[in-house]
Amino acid sequence: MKTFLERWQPQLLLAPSLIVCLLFFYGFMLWTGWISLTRSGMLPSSEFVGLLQYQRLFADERWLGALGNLARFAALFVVIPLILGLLLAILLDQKLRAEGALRLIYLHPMALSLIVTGTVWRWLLDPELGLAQGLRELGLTSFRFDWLGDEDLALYTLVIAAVWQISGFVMAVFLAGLRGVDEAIVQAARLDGAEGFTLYRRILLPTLGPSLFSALLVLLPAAIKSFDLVVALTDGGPGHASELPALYMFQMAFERSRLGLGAASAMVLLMMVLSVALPYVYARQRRLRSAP
Amino acid sequence: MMWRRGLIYAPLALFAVYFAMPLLFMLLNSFKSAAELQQGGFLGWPRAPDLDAWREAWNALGGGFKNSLLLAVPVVALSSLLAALNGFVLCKLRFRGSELVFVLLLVALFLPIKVYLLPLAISLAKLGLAKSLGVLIAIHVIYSLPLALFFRNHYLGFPDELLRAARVDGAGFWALFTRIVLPLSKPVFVVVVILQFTTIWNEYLFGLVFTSGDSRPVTAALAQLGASGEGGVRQYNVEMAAALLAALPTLAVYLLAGRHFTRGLVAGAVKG
Amino acid sequence: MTTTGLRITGLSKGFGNQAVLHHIDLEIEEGEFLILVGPSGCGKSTLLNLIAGLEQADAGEIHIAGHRVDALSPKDRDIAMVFQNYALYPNMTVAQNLGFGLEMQRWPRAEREARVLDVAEMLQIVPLLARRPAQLSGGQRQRVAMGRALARRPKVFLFDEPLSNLDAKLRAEMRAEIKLLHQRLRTTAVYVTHDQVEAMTLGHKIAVMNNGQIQQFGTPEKIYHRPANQFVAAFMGSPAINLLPAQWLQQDGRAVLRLAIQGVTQDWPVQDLAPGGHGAVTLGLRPENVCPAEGDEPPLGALRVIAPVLLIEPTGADTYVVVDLGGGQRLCARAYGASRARVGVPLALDLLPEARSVFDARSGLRLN
Repeated sequence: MKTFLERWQPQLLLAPSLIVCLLFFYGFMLWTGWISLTRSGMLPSSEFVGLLQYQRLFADERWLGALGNLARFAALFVVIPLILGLLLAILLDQKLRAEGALRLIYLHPMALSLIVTGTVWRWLLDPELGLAQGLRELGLTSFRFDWLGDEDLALYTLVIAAVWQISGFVMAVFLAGLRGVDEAIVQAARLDGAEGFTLYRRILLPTLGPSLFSALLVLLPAAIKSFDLVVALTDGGPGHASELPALYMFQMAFERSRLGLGAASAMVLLMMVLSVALPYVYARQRRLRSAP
Repeated sequence: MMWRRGLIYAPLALFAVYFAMPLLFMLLNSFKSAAELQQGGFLGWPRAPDLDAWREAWNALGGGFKNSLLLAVPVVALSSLLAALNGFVLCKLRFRGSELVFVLLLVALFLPIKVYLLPLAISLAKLGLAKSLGVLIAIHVIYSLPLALFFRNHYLGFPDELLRAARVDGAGFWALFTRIVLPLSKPVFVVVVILQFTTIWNEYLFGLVFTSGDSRPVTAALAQLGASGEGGVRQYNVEMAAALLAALPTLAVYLLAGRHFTRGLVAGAVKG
Repeated sequence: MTTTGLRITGLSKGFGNQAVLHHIDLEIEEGEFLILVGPSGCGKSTLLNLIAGLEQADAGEIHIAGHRVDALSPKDRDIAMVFQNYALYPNMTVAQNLGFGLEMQRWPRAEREARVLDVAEMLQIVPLLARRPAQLSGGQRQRVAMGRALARRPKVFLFDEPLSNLDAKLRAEMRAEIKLLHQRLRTTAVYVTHDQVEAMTLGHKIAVMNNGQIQQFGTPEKIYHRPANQFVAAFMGSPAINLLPAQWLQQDGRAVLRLAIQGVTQDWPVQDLAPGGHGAVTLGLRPENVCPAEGDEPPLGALRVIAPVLLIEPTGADTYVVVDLGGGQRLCARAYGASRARVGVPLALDLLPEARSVFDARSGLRLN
């Protein structure tokens, strides 16, 4: 008979990683949830207070503001790169000689840290010394651009920088999708008389469903997790006008020593991400189980 | 169809400006003196190009640079080997519950690890562990466990016959893994190593919280530099030089091996 | 006394609820070449994997060279395997591929290299030793795959459809080489294939499998000339055996097979069926036992039929003529050399009694 070691080999090999994963990903999730149900302030306490922290959270104007910001930010962060990425992908699909160089330009922001990105755009969008100054040098002497200092518009500076960072990736996904179409199908369509616009509209774009889905799967969680960019570009400012939930969580937990509140906001963030991840994983598993 | 080519190239060129401009201006203006920038010299060529900004940037970031290297290399090495092992076992050693493990890892892939800052910090305090690069390395390796899914995907296409032949030849698991599987995993390793290196080098929050002072990685140092200028006159030339410094390694990796990078990233995003 | 090379008793295997192998019993002597042949899904590959130890049986025993092995892992069973896609290690040279099994057994390097050289000479692949599998042709890879198996000098060789990926000409060459090698080495071998020509030419013993059971186990001659059931008869032989529905009747105390030819019944007396029996049967006749009629009278014991010609298939050496028996039935006859038959024209054929098979119409089992 096979020895114990042989029979349980896979499980034994995976066990350490699995235990660590369960602890650090899921155990900590439960722990954070627990903390969010206690009266923890500067130090963790074990006094159960039910949903008190959540009540405080959703009564906090600052948090509600951050949520509102997230909604607006996420909407733009998803829609603009999708459109831009699709457009660039279609254009680049034309087998141009400059494709290599163009890809390099569009995609290099992905290699950068969000802190770097934030720092660069902080300067570019500086009302005194940034791009605005450049335009003034060019002759538009009364040009003003001070979104960074504008409570209503500061959030959109984040959009500008984030779109710059991620659009190349979305383009790459769509391009791979376009190029993944069987050449035979394209040739058949050409023979049937489809050219240019029609070819794209009727034949190629409809195949991009999976690519769109993949892009969304990356964009949505990324929007929810946004933190580094905010720190470097606006620091949530002016005031809290461009604050996003992740920043709120960090400040509550670490700078304001309100662990319970911070934990509650962390749980809300987790729930938001899970609301994207769980349906995806569930649908995937069901699809795989039914198709042998 | 010249005008058609124009119709294609025009928007491409326009967006190329949008994408390329930041880095180009960064480079340009990092060679200007602070005074020059103060006087509103944004567009022009540096009047008297000097390296002062770069010197100051290196002073501020040099330590962080070394720290990031000390961080990235061990994390990338450990996490990718571990992920290869886990991915292979998950994929090829059929056992009850492998689907469950897969799902656990897949969900974990999405989870925003920033939310674990709280429990991690509390645990560290409770265990009496001091902040250090060592702790940071461990944390990064732990939270890179879902990387195994990349390898699992790759190993789905690994020929089963090869494994059977090795079993018949008498190879045990480790001989199989080290002599046959790993040598044939070079393509996926390239992708994973590039991806991991970029992720770890660019990471900010954990690097900030779990190290202190001298052992801060470069992203934290850069953010500190930016924050220190807040409210006063910002020395953008220094900040730009610093940002470029911080970005150099990952940019270099991208320039050299970018095709693998994006291919792997896209493949990872489109994974089944 | 000859020793048993391989003995299998009561072997069963199922996946989930599905039974893949039912109670397999087999025994071959040392040095014999056993072929497992059958259509896809018949269980032959599973059986091979069980012998190799790559999978575990649910019940039954396997004995190799007298030792019970079903509890042992592949490396302890003293077997070697040649795979359909060769399964050569792409990152190793030919020499390393050949020696890998020996490395796993911790052979000292000098002895390992000597054995590798030995095997390479036997298979004439010495000039390839430093190359990688990607640089080899299909036939060369096949040889290296065999060399890897040879290097370990196992008690049993296992072949998993090794020639399926080769083109016809190469396949014929390699088939001959395998046969020569076996004659030289005299090692017990089990060979899985779906190609019944390979089965007939290579094996000492053939096990025809279907639906997880052995339909018939015997020598090629026995299987070809006296198939145990309708499945075996239809599976082996190319072109396929003629299978005609008939009635087994008693007429004036003698057994006859009543056939319907073009709407008219003809009775064929038979001597080799159990006395007093009757019922619906299927008559099996191979094309070489159906000849264009010569002379005024059919040979003794033969049945002469006349039917219009449907198809003529010249194959160079012979010609196959297919006639229409009516009611959707066709009969294939083999004519030596060219045939004077013409499509549409009735042709007289003699059905010869030699190697005639009669199967029960319901069970398919052989009756004569």
